[in-house]
Amino acid sequence: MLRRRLDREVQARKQAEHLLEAKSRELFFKSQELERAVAAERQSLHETEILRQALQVFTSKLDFNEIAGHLGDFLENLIPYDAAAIFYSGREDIDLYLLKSSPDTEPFMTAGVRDTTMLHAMHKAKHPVLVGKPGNEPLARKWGFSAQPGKWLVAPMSVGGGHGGGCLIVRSLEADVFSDSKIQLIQVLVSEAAIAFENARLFQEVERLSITDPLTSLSNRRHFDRSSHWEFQRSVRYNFPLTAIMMDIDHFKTVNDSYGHGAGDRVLTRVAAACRQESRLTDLQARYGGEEFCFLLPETIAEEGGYEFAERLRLVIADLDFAADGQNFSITASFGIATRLNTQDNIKDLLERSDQALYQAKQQGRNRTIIWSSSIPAK
Amino acid sequence: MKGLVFTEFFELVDKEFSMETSEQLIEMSDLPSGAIYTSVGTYDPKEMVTLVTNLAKLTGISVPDLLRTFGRHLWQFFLVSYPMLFEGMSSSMEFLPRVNDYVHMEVQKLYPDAELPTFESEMVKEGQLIITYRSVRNLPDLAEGLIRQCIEHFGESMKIKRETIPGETPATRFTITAV
Repeated sequence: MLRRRLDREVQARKQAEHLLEAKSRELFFKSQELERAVAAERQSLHETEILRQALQVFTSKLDFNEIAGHLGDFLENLIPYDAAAIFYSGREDIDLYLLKSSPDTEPFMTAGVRDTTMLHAMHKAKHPVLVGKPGNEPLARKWGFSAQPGKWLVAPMSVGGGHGGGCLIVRSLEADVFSDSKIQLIQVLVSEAAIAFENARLFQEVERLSITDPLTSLSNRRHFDRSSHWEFQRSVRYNFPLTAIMMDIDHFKTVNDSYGHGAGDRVLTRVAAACRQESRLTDLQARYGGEEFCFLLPETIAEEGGYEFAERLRLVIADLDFAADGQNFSITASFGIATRLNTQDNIKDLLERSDQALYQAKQQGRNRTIIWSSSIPAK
Repeated sequence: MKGLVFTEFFELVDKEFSMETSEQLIEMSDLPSGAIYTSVGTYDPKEMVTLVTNLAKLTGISVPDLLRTFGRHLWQFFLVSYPMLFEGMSSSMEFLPRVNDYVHMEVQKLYPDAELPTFESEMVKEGQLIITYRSVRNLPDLAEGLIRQCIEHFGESMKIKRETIPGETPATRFTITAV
């Protein structure tokens, strides 16, 4: 009986050994699986963290170059790449922001600035395109990628409803970099940057609108008042002459009455264009009033540079031909010039004096330039 | 059915009766496994039914009584072998609800295929616990033995009411009330 019992015990023990071995193998594989899952989770967390940081950074930037730079940095954290660029079109031109390039990719990417085919396609696109993926060959050829080695990703950067638009192109020479999940991630990052770009573009636009006169595209009165104040301070500080010129279009009211406001607008626009053409980059010009224009010329004195400028402009304006209602007409302008006197002077008085000189020009028959002198009576 | 039920069963028979009784039992039972049981193995529950029925014949003790005694024995076994399950437990009302959630869950992690009985618990009011026992093997007497030994272990005095719940899967409701 004992013998039978012992036999059974031995068998049972052997059975137990096998079962436990199998169980321990099973647990080993399970633990490996868990390790893999944990690693994947960590990766996912890391990527989400990058996106979060990116969003924080992007929403605090209003400068295109800074945004582009940050996009390049964040992209580094997601994939290894050796070439990337952003093409972005805000109003008319396409701007190129080169994030990274190599000798073989730089000419290709800079050439892309002139080619709008890809940009137009991307403007409407919602999804990125992996050039180099089977099936995308026609697109690759169309966009000029055929000769380029490596896998390129083209990701759209447009904010719905916005006027700005563009795309990011990025290349990696390493294999298997652009997995579906990676592409999705990159697109999120790029979309975040796109929002930042749109913000920057709108900010630029707002700034421009706030300082520009919509009709003539010259500075508006508000901007001129601000800028002239600083120009004046600068001329005192560094002790250079400053000349102010007030210009008024003669009989402008008559133009409006005779030919209509449309013609009046055309006159103002072309006169403004002439002003821009004749001015130097350092000169301030503004539409000061309805038909009144004001100029501030640093390092210029009334009798020489100031007078030369005014006269030149006066003749150009007088030469302009206008047509309305089948009739031809031309216009003239009057100019009043004054220079900063001394350190006791101020911008208000300077402009006042040039205005007095302008009034004098009108009094004396219009279509002329008068330089202020103390003999000119106050208005 | 997990092997440990079988190994503990024979421990009990050896202790309460004798080694000879165990051998006799095995001889009269004609078990497919040949009575070779290891605690980490899994065997056909029908063998346990055969063993208990034959033991009743051998000893003249009823099957329910045998199962209740076995239940008490199993409780002691758990107490000694898995002390961590009882950590911080000071009453049966505290421990019994844990059986399903904690105890059996831990077992399931290691043995996902184990068909464990379920012990649903409901604290009806302070001092009254309802345990609903469900098992494919349906051994409510075993469950009763476990519960009784649990209460004795914590030194409590409780009233136990037992009802069979009719239905597709047989179930038994134990209403435990503190006295």
